[in-house]
Amino acid sequence: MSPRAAWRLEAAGFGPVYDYVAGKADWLAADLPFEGTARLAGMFTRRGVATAAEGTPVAEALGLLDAQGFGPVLVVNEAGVVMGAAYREGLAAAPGEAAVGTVMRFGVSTVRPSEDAAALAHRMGDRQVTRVVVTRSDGTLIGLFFAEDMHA
Amino acid sequence: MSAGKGYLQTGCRGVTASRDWGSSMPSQIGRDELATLTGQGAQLVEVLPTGDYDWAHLPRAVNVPLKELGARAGELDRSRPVVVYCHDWY
Repeated sequence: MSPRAAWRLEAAGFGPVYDYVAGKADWLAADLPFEGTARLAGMFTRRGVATAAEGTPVAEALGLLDAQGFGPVLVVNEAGVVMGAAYREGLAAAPGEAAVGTVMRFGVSTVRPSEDAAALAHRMGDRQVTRVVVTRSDGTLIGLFFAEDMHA
Repeated sequence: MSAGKGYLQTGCRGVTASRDWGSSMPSQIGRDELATLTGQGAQLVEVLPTGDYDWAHLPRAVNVPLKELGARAGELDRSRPVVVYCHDWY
């Protein structure tokens, strides 16, 4: 739709005219501010989550988890991309000096902050999921979405 | 296969030659360029229907739905660059 609008404005004598082709979907998925009535997952996402690198000692990661009060510990690389998640039971069962990467789970499901929050919470309820990792389109971490926060 | 390729090329030329699109063409931009342009005073226009705009739109964007563009283009400032967007690529 925007290419047609851009061409029409050019034809009408406007200029220069630019087309932000990736549009609102790209903007909202990047967790950028917006105006309007939408209630998106990003608005309810907890930002201050415990994070660690794959090489972080398990004991240190457990300390981060205790300090934060909720988890899991999200394992990110140097670019902030989520590589996996380490859960308390896995961390507690491993030697304190072991690397988090040895106990983390790789297959972590993620959602974009642009998802409708109520629809996401409903879907999570159907699957008995209490929290989900929120990332931008490039995989970088935003935080954790807890379905219960929708009702807070 | 070459006949097919030639047909497509001719078809595209035929379409563009039959319309008056003005002397320049719109530039496609990404998020970084968008920030630069709006920072320099470009006007941001969402061309989706009003309901979509009310649901969510980029900060400081105005709404001129595509269907109303012909009648409402005069609301835009001709002295400033224009950035248009919709939901995604199409």
